[in-house]
Amino acid sequence: MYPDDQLLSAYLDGEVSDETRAHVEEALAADPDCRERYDRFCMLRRSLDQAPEPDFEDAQHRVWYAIGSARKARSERLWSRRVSIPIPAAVAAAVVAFAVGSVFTLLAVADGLPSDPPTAGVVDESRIRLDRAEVEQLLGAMNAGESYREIRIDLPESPRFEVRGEPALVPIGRDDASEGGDS
Amino acid sequence: MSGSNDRGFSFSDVYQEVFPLLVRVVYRITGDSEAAEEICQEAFIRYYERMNTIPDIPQAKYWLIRVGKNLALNHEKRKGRERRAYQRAYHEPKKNPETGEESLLKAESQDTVQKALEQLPEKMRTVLVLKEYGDLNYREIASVLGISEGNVKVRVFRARERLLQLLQGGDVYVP
Repeated sequence: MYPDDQLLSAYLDGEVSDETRAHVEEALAADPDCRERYDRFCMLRRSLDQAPEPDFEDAQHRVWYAIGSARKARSERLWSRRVSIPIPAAVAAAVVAFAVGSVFTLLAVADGLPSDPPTAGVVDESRIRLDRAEVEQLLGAMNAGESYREIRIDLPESPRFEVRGEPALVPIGRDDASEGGDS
Repeated sequence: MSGSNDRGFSFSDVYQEVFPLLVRVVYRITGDSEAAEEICQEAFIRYYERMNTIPDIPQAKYWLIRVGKNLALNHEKRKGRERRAYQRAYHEPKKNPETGEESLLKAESQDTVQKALEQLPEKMRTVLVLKEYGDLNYREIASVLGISEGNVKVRVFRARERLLQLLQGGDVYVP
C-alpha cells in the first residue's frame, strides 16, 4: 500500500490503525518523495502552532466578571420587559379578566366575605427574639464585608409559636431591650 | 456564579477547563480577539442557562465549542456583509496593486498564517481549527459538527492542501 496525501494527513493526526501506521512508517523510511510530502504537512502544523495570538489570560478574568454582570442585567430585564400584545388579544384578555373578576366578586358577596382587597399600607411584621451572641456574630460577619449566598436558621423540631403583646412600629436604631415588649 | 449542578461539577470547573480552548478556537475563526471575548461570554451565558441538562464536562466542552463556532461564523458573515456594503458605498478597491517586494514585506510583518486561515472556505476552516486549536480528535469533531468521521478526515486534508497552496503560492491577501 502506497500512502497518498490524505492518508499522510490522517497519519499526522494519529487517526490510522496500527497496521496502517506500520505501512506508512515503512514508506516514510524508504521513499524520499513520500517523506517530502509528509514533511509539508508537518511544516504546516508548525506554522499554525507558532502563529502569533493574543495572551488570553487577562481575557479569561474579564469575561468571567462580564458573564456575572450580563446575567444580572438579563435577570433584571426579565422583570421590566415590555410585552407587545395585538389589540384584539388585549381586548379579549381584558373581557375575560373582567368576567372572572365579576364572578369572584359575586361569590365573595354571597359568602359574606369582603370584596375589597386588603388595605394598602398595612405592614405585616413578625419579630423573633434571637440569642444576642448569635446576632452579634451575624452582624459582625456582615460588617466585615463577608458575603453570603444564603443564611440558614435552624428551628427546633417541634416549634410552638405564639403571639405575645401588640404589634408595634419601631424606629430604626431604637434599642429593642428598652421597649420591654415581645411580639 | 459558582452554582454547581447535581452532577458534581460547577460552572466554574467548566469555565476554567474550556475557556482557554474555546477562546483560541473562536479567535482562529474570526481573527478578532475582541470578538472572541464577546462570543465566549455569550456562549458561557447560554451554557449557564442550560447547564443542568448537560451531563458532564466533556459534553459541556463539545456543546460550548459548537455554540462558539456557530456564533463565530455568524460574526464572520455579518462582518463580510458590512465589508461588502462599505466597499459598494465608497467604491473601495478590494486589493491594491503592490510590487512583489511590498507584498513580501507585508507578509513577513503581519500574521500571514491567520490571514490564510481566514481565506479558507468555512467548512475547511472550521475542521482545521478544531483539529489544530481545539485539541479534538476526528470522532469529537464529527460529533461537534454533526458530520461523519470520514467527512472530517477529507475536510482536514483538503484544508491543509488549500492552506499550503495559499502560503507557498503567496496568494494570501493581507489587507
